Amino acid sequence: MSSPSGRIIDEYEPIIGRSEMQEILELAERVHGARIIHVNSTMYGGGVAEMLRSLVPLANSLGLKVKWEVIEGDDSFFKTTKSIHNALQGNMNIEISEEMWSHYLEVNEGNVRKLDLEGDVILIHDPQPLPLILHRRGGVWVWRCHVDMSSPHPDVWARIREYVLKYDALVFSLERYAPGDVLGKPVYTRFPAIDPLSDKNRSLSVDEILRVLERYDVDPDRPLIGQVARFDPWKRPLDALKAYRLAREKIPGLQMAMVGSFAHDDPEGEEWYRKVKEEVGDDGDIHLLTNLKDVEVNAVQRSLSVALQMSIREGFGLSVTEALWKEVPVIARRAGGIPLQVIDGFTGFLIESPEEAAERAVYLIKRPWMARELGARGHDHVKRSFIITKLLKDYLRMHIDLVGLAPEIRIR
Amino acid sequence: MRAEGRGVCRLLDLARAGHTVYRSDPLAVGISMLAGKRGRSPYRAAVVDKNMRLSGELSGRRILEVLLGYRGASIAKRLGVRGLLREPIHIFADEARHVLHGMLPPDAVLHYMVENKTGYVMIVGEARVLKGVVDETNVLERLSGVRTYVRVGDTMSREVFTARAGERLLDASRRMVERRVRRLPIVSRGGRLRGIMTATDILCYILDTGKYAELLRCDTNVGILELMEREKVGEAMTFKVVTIGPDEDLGEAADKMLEHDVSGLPVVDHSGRLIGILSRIDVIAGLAKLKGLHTLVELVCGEPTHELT
Repeated sequence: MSSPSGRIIDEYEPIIGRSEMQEILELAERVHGARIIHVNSTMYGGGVAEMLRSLVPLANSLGLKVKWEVIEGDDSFFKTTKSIHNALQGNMNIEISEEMWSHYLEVNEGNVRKLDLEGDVILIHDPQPLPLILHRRGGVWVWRCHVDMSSPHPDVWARIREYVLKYDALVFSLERYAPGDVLGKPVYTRFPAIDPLSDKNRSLSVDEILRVLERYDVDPDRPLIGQVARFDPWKRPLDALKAYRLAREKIPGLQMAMVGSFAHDDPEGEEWYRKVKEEVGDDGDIHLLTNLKDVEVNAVQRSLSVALQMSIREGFGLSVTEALWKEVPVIARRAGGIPLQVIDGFTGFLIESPEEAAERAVYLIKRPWMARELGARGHDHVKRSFIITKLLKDYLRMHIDLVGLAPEIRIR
Repeated sequence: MRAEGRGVCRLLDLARAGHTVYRSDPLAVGISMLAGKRGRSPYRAAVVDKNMRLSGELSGRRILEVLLGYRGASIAKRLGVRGLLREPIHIFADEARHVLHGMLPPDAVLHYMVENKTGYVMIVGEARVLKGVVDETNVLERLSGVRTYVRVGDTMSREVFTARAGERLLDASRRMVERRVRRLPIVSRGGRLRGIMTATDILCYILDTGKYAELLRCDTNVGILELMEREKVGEAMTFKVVTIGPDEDLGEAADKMLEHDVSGLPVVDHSGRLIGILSRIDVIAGLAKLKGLHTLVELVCGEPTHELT
């Protein structure tokens, strides 16, 4: 999918300022016409798809020729890739049979014919399309890994590493995510980012927010806390429920929103959704909201008094970034890139347990002036560090690095 | 400037000017700054525009990556190394990673540094104008002369990447880049410490010895690689190395780092065998972990003290 009619960079100027915009244009000019292909495994759901939805049109509007390709697979393929994902993230109780490995390769091979992989830079996102490298014809191939791979399952990593080492460069979200045995490869670190102009993050009118709350039967007159995350054991949805129930003992009438989606490449999600639903039972104050539209997630996030993120593993924690952008203070565990965003006591609180989370939530709900202060600082922090234009600049520099100067640019 | 009490210590009292390079300057200027003088050169510089707006950051490792061909190799192929060194710095810079606003209180920056184990935070005002840098040195200065009752051995890193003096400079430099470390202790076959080599040492060596001129004649990075292939680690390393023992106090380590202006100390046992390494951020994060973040905050922002309880 490519979208030449994407929004132009000028729309970001009020947020990022003129000088930053000039820098982007200057970098983009150097790789004008470069053909960049992003490949991932889903067009909807999950941070990668959201980021590409913003990044691809933005880069196209700057004169690059960027395409976004999505690989297709059956349920058993996605079940395998989910297991690979979990194993790379550190789950040691996973076994992947030879049959599953060969199906993983077959599906990738089957996709080669359907995808356009002719470009100057081919960016492969996450493990699902990783073996496409076996069918490379040209261009510079980069693996963009969004997973925390600091302590992967050794057997699974040994298999995956064979393909990883065939790439020309690797990109991780945080420096410590890069495994120690990929020596000889250029490794880039790039913080993920949110798009402040997307439906998920743009400003909403009071009416828009109220309409969404009414649609999902959330009482706008009572305080609401919530967690936005996939239904997944790493995200600890049951811990979030526990924290909420403890907080409600101190704040009667407190409501909870559990917002999650099922990505096409995430078969585990449904199973965990059932577990959460069972735990919620007929508690009318807990709103289990699935597969909301982006603008609806936006509205719910904007109506939170406090956002929770009880995850023990995060690629980066873009839900936290989104909440902070909306001036909502965040109470979260120290997972992934969360400590880069939640400065303890200043943009939210870093906690260890549901009990501690409940205590902090009560503290902030009873002190709205303080929540406001933390929220404002959080917004300011995100604006400086985790906005899509910063990521775009980083990618443009990487493209310059990898392809040199594009043919259209006259060498001085 | 030392603040009188916690309440009046502002963030900018803690920050220092920091080294800056202009984004439009040629890369060669950045190299000169980061490798100007052995032992005194900064490891990082903020990349700014003419109005001091923050554009990115440049580190010694980034420069090494460029020289070794991990970065910008395709540009070098097209323009030659000479051309590459004339390219503007901002192409090779990274986005500034750790940027906080000058209105935050100093303890917020300490929290951030400890949680993320980062020793370099850039402080900006409105419109991203660079106001200063808080780095490990600013914090260590507050620890100077203080007895912390935390042992070096309890907070040092035990995983140490090393090199041998007779090893090819190219191999050791690659190890430094690929393992993402700033320094390699040089050890004998028996594990005894012989010296140390930092990223700055390598850059200085290239600049100091007239090899820079040779480097400028290189058509691609291959020329640089050949150059570094010929040299041995022993040519670039520092033989006089400041060390510390595992039972010494963190305050003592801070004093040594400041006195000798080094970014890290190899930790050796009584027989001179290398057993670990202690960086500036290890001192800060270790103290926060073992004595509590509040103790670190008190030390940095509060009344001067000579002893922790």
